[in-house]
Parts: sequence; structure tokens; C-alpha cells
Amino acid sequence: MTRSLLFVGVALAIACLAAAFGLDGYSWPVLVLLLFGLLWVIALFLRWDWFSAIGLFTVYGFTAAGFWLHLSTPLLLAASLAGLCAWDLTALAQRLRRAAKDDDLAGLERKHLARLALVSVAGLALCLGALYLPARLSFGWALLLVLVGVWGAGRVVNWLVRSG
Amino acid sequence: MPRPFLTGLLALALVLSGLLTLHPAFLALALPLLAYLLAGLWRAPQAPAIEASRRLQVTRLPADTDVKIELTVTNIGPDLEEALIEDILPPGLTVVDGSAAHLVSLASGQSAAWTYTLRGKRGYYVLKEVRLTAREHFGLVAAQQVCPTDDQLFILPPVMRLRRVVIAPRRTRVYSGTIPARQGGAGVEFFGVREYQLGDSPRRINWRLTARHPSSTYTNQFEQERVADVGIILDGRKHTNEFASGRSLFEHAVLATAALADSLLAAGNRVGLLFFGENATWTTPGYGKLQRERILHDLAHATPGDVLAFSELIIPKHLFPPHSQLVLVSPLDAEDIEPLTEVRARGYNLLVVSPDPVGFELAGLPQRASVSLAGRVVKMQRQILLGKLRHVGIQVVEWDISQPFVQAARRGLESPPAWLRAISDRGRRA
Repeated sequence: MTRSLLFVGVALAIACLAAAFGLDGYSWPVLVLLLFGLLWVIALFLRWDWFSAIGLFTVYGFTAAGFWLHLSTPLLLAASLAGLCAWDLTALAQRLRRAAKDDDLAGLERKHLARLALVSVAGLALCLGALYLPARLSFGWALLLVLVGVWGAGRVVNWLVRSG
Repeated sequence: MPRPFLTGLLALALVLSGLLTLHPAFLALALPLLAYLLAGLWRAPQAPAIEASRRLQVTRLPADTDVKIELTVTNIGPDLEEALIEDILPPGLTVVDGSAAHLVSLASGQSAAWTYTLRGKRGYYVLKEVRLTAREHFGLVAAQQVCPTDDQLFILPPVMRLRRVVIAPRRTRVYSGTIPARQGGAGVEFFGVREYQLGDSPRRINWRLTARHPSSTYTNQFEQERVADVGIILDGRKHTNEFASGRSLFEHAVLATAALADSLLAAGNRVGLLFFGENATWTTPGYGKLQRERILHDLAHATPGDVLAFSELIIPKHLFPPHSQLVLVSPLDAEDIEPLTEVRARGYNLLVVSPDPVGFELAGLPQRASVSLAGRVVKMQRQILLGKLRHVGIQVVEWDISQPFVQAARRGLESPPAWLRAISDRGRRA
């Protein structure tokens, strides 16, 4: 099931991005995305698990570019979430490969997918809230947020690096 | 790159670019990533604690035989959402059925048990740890615990049955066995005649000789058969056993040693083993099945090393007095002539079983004219070496390892060579 969903995730991410760019008449990003999608699928078949990280960065890079170019927001959000899910499912598939045949893999997959769905919905809700709920910030608040954001993210990354 | 670092980095890049460009969409785009990251960190596993117990179906088994392992793991720590439990196997063991690693979800106090089947090469293996890697469902944060165990597995070398190994040491022990003792008494083989003594069985009277010399009565004597002290020396030197591209003759030498030890012990002899590799290690001489097990046990341990030379070979006289039988299992080296001649000169009967290193090495080389020519030269050198050993009275049995050892043993060990028979007869006459 994980592997099927993984292919669906990759296809959805690439298709949504390509559609978003294509609908606004950008033809070369569509071509690049389709070629990249093909490469990603080949990487899945060859079990190049490391490629999913490149996939995640590429999808988010194109999504950010799409937002910058004011492309279709629903398509871009769908693409980013599908890319995140594909990256996550690649890691899950990698872990499941080390399991024995008689392990309760279906149960583990079910729990994982339930949590992933929950987090995706929560992430989407937060994202939509941030995009569509009006909020005005003065320069001082913005600067404070920048500093707090940098400090917080730095702490998180530092903690993660230390915890290995 | 660790996954949480990757997620954090991407989220940080989006947040920073959003704040710097004042583009809210970038900030919004970072939120699902942060939600994912926080969900993973929130459910990060605490320090896991497990207890593992392993039950081996057998702890001593012959090579290429399956052994079932039953592993039970109990979670004595917090709940584990996703736990990869691996029974860490040393190199040389392979799983033939089931799996040594399992991915499970273990609640606190819950146990998981499974069985798998192993097979391995000859050796001594210590199964010393069970490793647990606990992760939350997203696999962002991992916590590991290694649970020490101390199970041991001896995979013994295969033992081929030899019908008999003929040896004729000049020194035998007092117990009856199968080795001709060069002394008259109860036995099977005719030894000589002597004058009749009171108590001799009338069945043994040599009537023909008595008729020829009527002044006295003569009795037939038979050769006593006794057990002997046999020291088997296994050559474990790397430079004589190991060849290009990792090919080794050592397993063949071990196989021959096991077969010889089994046969000599079955004949009632007192057998000891000297493994001559990185160190010289003795299995003190002994009799019977227990000694057979001891020798196989020590052979399971044996791995080639390269520190000692045969010139350092010291045979302890209290274990093997001169005129005992020594059996050397070695591919031999040109430098071995001198130390082996010295051993022979000290009075030991020496039998050398030599797996052929030339044929073995040639089998692994490309078939070229130059290789074939070099092979012929080396073969001649080896024949000269073996000839020199035979010349000093050492019995040499060459074993072409492309054939089973039983065949080489049948040819060279089941009946003594003519020169050894001649020596034995001379000894008997003396």
C-alpha cells in the first residue's frame, strides 16, 4: 500500500505543479517538471531513497516560485503536501523493507498513514488560515517575528543536530 | 542528511525568505513542514528499555546444519510506536528461514517472540547483542538500545569417516588397541616363536618346529596390539594456507584434521591436537568421545594466523615422548624441511598429510601458457620437497583437494607404504 501511495504522491505533486505552471502559460517549467517527475519515478523503481529529499526540495522550490508568480494557490498547496507525503512515504517504505514478512506491516502502515493524514490536514488548515485570514503587521512586529523566527529555527536545528 | 535537519532547514529557508520578501505565502508554505516536524518531535520516543532472551535449539552443531533460534523481547520501558528489533549476527552466519530483524509496535510490558533459522560456516560465534531502534511514526527521531546477550554457537567441522589410519609408532601405551607394539603376546599377527612356558595354551604350540627340534617344545607368539600417543599438528599459518583473491586451503586442512582425529580416537588411541597458527595451542591428549568433542570444539575456533614458523615448533616431551606418532596436516612450505627433519631426528614417527597447494592455486588462475608453465615448475619443486621428506623417513600423503579426502586417505593411509612395512619388519626382527 505504501509503495502505491508513494507513486500517487509523486504523480500528484508533479501533476499539480505542472498544471499550475501550464495553466498560466509557462511551458518550460512544465517540461522540466515532467522530466523531473519521470526521474523521480525511475528513482523509486531503483530504490534510490536519497532522491526523495531532492524531490522534496524541488517541489517546494517550484511551489515557492509558483507563489511568487501568483499561480493557482490550491494546486500549489496540493503539490507541496503531496511532495511532503511522498518524501515521508519513501522513508516509511525504506523502514518497512527491513521488517520481516510476518510482521504486522499493514497495522504499522495504517497507523502511519492516519497520522500523516492528520498532520497534512492540520498543515493545510494552518496554511490556508495563514493565507486567507487577514492580519496586518507593523514594521516593528515584522522585525520581531523575523528575529524570533530565526532564533527559534536555529534552536530547533541545533537541537536536532545535537540529538543526532 | 538527517530527516529532521532536512525538514527544519527547508522550513527555515521558507520562513526566512517569507520574512525577507514579506511574502506571506512563503511563511504559509512552511507551516505544513513545521506541523510535520513538531508532530514528529512531540511523539519522539523516550529512552527505550527492553529485555531480550534467546534460546538456541542446539549450541554445537555440524557445519551446514540449520539451527533454530527463538528470540523473546519484552518492553520494560515506555510504549514504542515503531521498534526495529535486530538480532545482531556475527559474519559467517546466514538466516535461511524467517528473519533476524522485526519491525513491531510494542506497548509497555508487551512481549514479542519469533523464531528464525540460521546456518553457518565452521566457527565459534558469540551472539552478543540485540539492538532496538525505536522511532515515532514519521521516523524523524530515533532512540537506540543495545541489549547484551551471551549466547554461543559452535559450528563444528564436518567429520568424514575413515575406515582406518595405519600408523606404526615405535612407542605404544600399555592398553590394548590396534597399533602393532613390536612385542610378543596376545594378538592376531604372527610375531615369532619361543620355548614353551608353563601356562601357554596348547593351541599355540608350533608342532612343526617342535617336531624338527624334539629336545624342546615351541610356542607361537603373536604381536601385541596396543594404543599409541598421537599428536595431530594442524598448520594454520596464513602464508601456507591462503592464496590470491582470498582463496584458502585452511578449511580443507581442518576437514582432514577432523577426519584423522576421529579415526585415530575411534581406534582407541590417545590423541592430542596442536594448532599452529598465530599461537600454538594444545588440546591436551585424551581418549574417547569426550576428546573427540574437545578436538572438534577447538577446531571450530581455529583461524589462520601468521606469527610462528615451524622452526619454533616445540613438542612437549611429557605429552608426546620420542617415538610417539605425530601427524602433521599442512600444505607445506620449502622452509619446512629442516624443522620437520629435526622432529624426525628426535625419534618421532611423522606422518604428513598435505593438501596440494599447487593444484589449488592453479585452479583459481587463468588458463594461460605462462601459468601452466609456472605451474609445472612449482609442481616439480613440490615433488622435490616431498621427496626430501620421504627420504628422511617421513610418511607423506599428498591430497589433491579436487578429490574427497576419503579417497586420498584410502590410498595413502589405510595401508602402510612398502618402506614403512620394511622398517616395521626390521624393528620387529630387532
